[in-house]
Amino acid sequence: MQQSLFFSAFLFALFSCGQNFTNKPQQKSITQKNVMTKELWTLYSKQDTIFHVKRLLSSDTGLTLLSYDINTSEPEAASQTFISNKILTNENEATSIKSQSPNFNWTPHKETPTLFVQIDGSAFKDEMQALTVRQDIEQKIETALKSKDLGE
Amino acid sequence: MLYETSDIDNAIPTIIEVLNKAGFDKKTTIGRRVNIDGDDWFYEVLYPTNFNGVFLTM
Repeated sequence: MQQSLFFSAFLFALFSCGQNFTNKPQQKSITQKNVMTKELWTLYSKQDTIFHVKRLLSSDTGLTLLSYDINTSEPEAASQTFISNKILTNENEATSIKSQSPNFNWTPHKETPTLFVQIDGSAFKDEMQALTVRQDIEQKIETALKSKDLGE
Repeated sequence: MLYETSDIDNAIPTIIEVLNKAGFDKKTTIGRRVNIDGDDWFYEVLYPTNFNGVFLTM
């Protein structure tokens, strides 16, 4: 009788340990999703209503140079055309690209950075849902930014 | 939805995390206001990074 009690306790302990082991990798994979990207520089060149843009990003995976054009002939409906996404081998290559772009010397007027977050209308089944969800998400984003002291 | 932020690099992942939890991260674009002068600006889409299209701000 004592032997069977000991055996049951042993099985229970073994099962409990197994539960812990299966939960750990799940928690880790959620944290691993957050790859931090940092903007190193953005250069603009202005040609009439078109802005040519080169934007250098740094992340765990290395340096990425994004190139795109923004046509602002209708400023309330700016049209962005993606050109390329180039992985750079090292910072020297980035410095070289920067120095070879002397006409990319237009700089924006300095103001507090403002972000405009837009959820596509096709994400909602009707306007009522769009209004309710947008209000809810707007509030959650504001709370999240404030909690990290990133703005509002 | 407009937000003023002191740190775009950290604000964007924070915003995307909220959108991801609600299931809207793949249906969202995030633009940055680029000021031409005090009263004139346009928007540059930062997310998704390979954005191709029109960003309506009306």
